[in-house]
Amino acid sequence: MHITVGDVVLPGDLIGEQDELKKVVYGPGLRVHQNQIYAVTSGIFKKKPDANYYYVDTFHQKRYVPVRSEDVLGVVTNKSGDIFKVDIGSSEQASLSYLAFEGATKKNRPDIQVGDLVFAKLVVASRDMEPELVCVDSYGKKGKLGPLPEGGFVFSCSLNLVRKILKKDYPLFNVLGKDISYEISVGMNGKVWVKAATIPQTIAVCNAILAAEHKTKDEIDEMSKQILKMLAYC
Amino acid sequence: MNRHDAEKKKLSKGLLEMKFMKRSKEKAEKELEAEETESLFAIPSKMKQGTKYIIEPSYIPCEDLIVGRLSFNGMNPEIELIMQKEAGIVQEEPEIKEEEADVTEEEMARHYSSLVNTTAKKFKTKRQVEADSQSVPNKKKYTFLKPQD
Repeated sequence: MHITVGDVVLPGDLIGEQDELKKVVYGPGLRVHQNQIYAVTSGIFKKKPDANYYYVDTFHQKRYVPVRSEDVLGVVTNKSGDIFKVDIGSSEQASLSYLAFEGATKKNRPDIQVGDLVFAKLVVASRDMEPELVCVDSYGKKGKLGPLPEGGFVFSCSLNLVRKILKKDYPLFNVLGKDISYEISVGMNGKVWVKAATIPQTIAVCNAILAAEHKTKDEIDEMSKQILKMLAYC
Repeated sequence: MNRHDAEKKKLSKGLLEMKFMKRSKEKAEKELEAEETESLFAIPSKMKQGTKYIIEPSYIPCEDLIVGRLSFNGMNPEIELIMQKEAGIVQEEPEIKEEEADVTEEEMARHYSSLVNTTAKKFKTKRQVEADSQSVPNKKKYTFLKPQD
């Protein structure tokens, strides 16, 4: 059976032979074994338009498998010695060094308590090792990373929903942002933190994100309008 | 190859210990520290030489996902500033510069127009000055009024 882009694949399916002449990128869900390309997850076999990127788009996934250089949202669960333990929803808790913050030195420790939320980048995500987080980039700047402000609300959603809402041209955040003042932090691990000016607005944004799972782009506009109308009554 | 070595060449320890090299020493130490932090937190490039394919375990480059840290309507100005910079809004900077100017263009024009007169006065001859003062109606001369008894 020949598999082409757009087909459904199951783990173990042979997709084809590795072409020695072309430079190709194999994304998540694909593995190369003895010059043969196999699918290792179930989903749709896809290709990135205008690029030699092939990957398997999974339908529904809730367990996060850490991947290096992804940004995740975690809860600090333990503070021991010079590292924090952070729950990022993976099989093992991630470690976060107290030196991996902007402006942190051995004397000047970051002010982080157990239970705080951090938006951090994975630098070590290996199959055999504990994942490791940092809150700075390679220049020592924090950028968008770091502990999140007080307040707000956290919830978990499926990984494919996160991927859906983070697509460049997905309208949800911008449409809501026109009328509601809010800030949001979406981790690739399926944890989302929302903070709006008022509590009803926070709940509305959370519900809008969860409702977006089964909505198309066109339905988003209509849904946002409804939400804003409801908020006007609050 | 040679050029690369030349770039890496550093001043010797003994030289840096000298008193007049204090500033260079600080600079060298700072550079070393920056290098160390960069190697600690940098994510190494995945492209290995010789292989024709790359394994990319993340969905981010495959689907062009954005970083999930956003803010709207001034909820978190720090994040919004970064977002604006990423969006490439360049008009922001000149606007700030205009606001920073404490003398507006109108004020400047007014100031210079009066300045022209002031400087022009300096180059007038004595006769011209006298002529000018005569053209202006003479000031009332105050005379002593004898008080009435």
